[in-house]
Amino acid sequence: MKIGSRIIGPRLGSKLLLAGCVLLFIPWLGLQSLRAMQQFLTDGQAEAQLLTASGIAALLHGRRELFDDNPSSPSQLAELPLYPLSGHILLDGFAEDWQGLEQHSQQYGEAAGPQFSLILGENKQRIYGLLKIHDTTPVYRHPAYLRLDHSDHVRFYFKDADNNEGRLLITFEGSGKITAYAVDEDWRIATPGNPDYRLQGYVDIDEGGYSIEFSLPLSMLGEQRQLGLAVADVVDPQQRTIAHISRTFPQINQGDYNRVLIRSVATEAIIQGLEKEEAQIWIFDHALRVRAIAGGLVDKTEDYLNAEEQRAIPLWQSFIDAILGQLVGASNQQLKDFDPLQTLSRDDALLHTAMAGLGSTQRRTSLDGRHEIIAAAQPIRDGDKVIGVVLIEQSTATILSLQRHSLQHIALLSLLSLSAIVIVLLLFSARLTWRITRLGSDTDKASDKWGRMQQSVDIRGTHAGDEIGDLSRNIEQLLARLTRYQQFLSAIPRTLRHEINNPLNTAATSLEHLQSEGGEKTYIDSAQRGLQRISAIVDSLAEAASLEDALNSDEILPINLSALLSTYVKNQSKRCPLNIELTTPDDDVWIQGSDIHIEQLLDKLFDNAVDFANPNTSIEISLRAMKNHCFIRVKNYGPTIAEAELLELFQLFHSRRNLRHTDNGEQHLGLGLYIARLICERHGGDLRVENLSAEGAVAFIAKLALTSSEQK
Amino acid sequence: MTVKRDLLQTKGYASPNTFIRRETHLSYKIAIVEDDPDQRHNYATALEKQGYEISAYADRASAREAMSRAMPDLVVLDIILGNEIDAGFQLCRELLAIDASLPVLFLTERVDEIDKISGLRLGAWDYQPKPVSLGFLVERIASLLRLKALRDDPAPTTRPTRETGHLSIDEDAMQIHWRQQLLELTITEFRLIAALARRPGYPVAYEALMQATIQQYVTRNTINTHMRNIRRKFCALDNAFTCIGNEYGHGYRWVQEN
Repeated sequence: MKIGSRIIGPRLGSKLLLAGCVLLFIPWLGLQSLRAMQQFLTDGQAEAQLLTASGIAALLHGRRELFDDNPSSPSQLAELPLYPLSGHILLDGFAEDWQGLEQHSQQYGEAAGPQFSLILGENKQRIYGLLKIHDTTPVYRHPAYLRLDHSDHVRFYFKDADNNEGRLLITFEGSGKITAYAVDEDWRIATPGNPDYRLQGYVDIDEGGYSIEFSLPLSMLGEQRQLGLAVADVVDPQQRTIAHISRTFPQINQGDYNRVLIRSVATEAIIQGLEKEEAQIWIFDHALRVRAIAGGLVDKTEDYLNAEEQRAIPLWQSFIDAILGQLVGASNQQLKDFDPLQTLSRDDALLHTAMAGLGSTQRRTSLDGRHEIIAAAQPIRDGDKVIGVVLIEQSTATILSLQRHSLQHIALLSLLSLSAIVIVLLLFSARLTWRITRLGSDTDKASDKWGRMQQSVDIRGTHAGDEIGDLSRNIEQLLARLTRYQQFLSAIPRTLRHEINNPLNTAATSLEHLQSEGGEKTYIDSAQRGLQRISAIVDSLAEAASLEDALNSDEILPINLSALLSTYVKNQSKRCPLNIELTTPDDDVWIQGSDIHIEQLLDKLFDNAVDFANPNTSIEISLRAMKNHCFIRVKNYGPTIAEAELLELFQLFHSRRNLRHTDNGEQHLGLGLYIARLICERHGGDLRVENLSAEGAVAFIAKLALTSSEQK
Repeated sequence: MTVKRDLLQTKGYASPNTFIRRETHLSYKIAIVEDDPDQRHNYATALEKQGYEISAYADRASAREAMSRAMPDLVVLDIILGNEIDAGFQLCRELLAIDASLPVLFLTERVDEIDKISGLRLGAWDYQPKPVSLGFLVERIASLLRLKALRDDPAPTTRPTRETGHLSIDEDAMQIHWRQQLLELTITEFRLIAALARRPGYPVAYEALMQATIQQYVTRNTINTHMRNIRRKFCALDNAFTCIGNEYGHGYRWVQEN
């Protein structure tokens, strides 16, 4: 803020607010302690996970059979990976619901034969498959032929629960549902003649070939879980003989097919009971292939509800979430840590450490990149040998959400307390500022612009017990002392007059005696003049000192100022050597006041004008009425007043005349304009002076309050 | 300027011509109570030259004691006597209690309006602020004694009363009646009204009014104050009184009633 040319500092309220900013450390400290707590809690969780992992490892200790491959399977054929599917697959020939897994399909077939890709998945004890065959000229089944091998078809080889070979053949007459038949050994005729409905599927045909999406119950396969697929391609629609056959297994086989790679049911059953929310338990064998998984780091709540909830979250909530997420590192988003590829095998450093025989923990970000996951791995032993690894993964979401709640709590409390403190500070500072301002204005009002103390000085707020109260009391006392001192000063002229009148009287009466006894006349006369002058000085002083009392005790009557001025100027014109010009408005101007004092005011202004007027110029007096005030302007042509003198002009004992300039016996004590000013102020106006340098003139303008409408 | 003009106009009243020996008044005894020996001596000398029998006192106790034995015909009182600031007032009260018709003239350095009013309310006949000219004092005392004689022994008036409208002025008794009602006036006030009413309708300048007071140092303010008091006294008798008019920049005039 700027006052005049001086720049001053911030106001009290701003300072208090600035100081109040220190309070912002409180939420910051809270945040720091929260972070420490988070560290502590996550460490604790990692420990707990490691312990749990040890427990599970102990549970599986020595269970070699759970980790061994089926000993009764001598098959050296490539395995068919069976990916666990998280959702239901709609059998429609399209790959959309395979969640990108289709990119990991395996390719089969040689250049000559039909080429096809295959992906297999498992969900709820059913095997799902997506088969894509490259064949630009598909040959459909002819409804008239009984034989099934006269068109393009797919052969399913498997071993059933009784370890018997099973054969199912799929052929089709166009896009649509497929029908599977159990067939004879030559893959020609359906043996029972009825379709086998355990195998369901759908075929979709396009330019490049056809896709078959199928599903069959896991229970169709026996313990050995052998499954093989072959695609037969018929090229000539007339001849309808099989041109080529591509297989998932070598053509010359000993009744062995591809083994379906599936997690250990037994192991999974064991750890199923240990399932925890937001935690996932993995069991790996020594090749780090997944043997069992329990739980999951995928939120189980239905997406539909989540979406509803998310829609209902207001904007401010998501804004707060974003801020808190930045602070805590937690996210309100659902956790998604599912990679279908990892459901078969994993290759974490942690697991290798565990395989080396050391349990350890590790932290990583979730696959969706929004959560932190703590992983703890412990080796499963069989004697000295490590036969597998237990891995427990759990997100820190619980801790983070705890921390998040605490932070919300802290934030809310901090916000509330800060607002309360700020409000209290603001109110307090406003109150302080108001009291100081009031004290300032009261102090200011105690004296007028001329520095004179007012009759009644009222300092408020002196009852307060604090420092401002002290200050108020001090100022009140100071002002009271000043007032007393001023009273003493203003009483001096009157006292002086009382005191001086006695010696004056003595001198005057003695002079008269001297005179009557024939003293030297010249000396007696000059002594008389001296006495008269002393008397006049004392009278003037007393008059000036008691003028205010006189002004206040005077009767206030309506005065016709125009008439008064006309009479006054008419009377003065008779005795004044200078020409007087008077301008008055057409309408009468009425004021409330004391006519004697208005006359006195005119005397002072007129005498002053005459004294400083150049010879042979005129005195111009004008009266002008405005809305609430009227202005009497007395202008004379003569020397202008020095700028430095303008302010002093209306002060007591200031005279423009030389005090010793008494060639005509005049005495100028500098009372005239002071008295004139007091009279103007008493009449609700003021007195000012204008230098009219251009004209070589000076004008005094007395402003007086007009009779207000209610006074009329 | 005002001061200057006042001084010029009052010069004449200090002239020695006003202080002349008159016919003696052997029969009158005048008491002077004044604590300042020089002033007391000057008063006494001046009045003795007029043939009055003077007894002068310096303090209230001695004055009170002497006067209770033999009352004078007139008392000139100072108000502050020694350390007693209201001794004059007190003495006035005591003396008037003994003789209510005793003319008391206050002659004092206490020139404030309030003191003047207090003095006149006590029953004093006149109140003169210092400094006073001896000529004026002699004249004033003569007037008071003449007035006292008239009131003690009403004789047929030598001069007829002047009548101006409802105003009647008795120059000898120094009494003024307004609508047949007597106005309680000081001698100065009487003189001012007489001067105003001499030529009804014509403005009377401040200077003329100052002369009429025959006081030594008179200012316009003094005249204005007197005029205000006179107006109040008239208004106390007659609310509708408007006969004294201001002649701004000049003086006053007696406005004739319609």
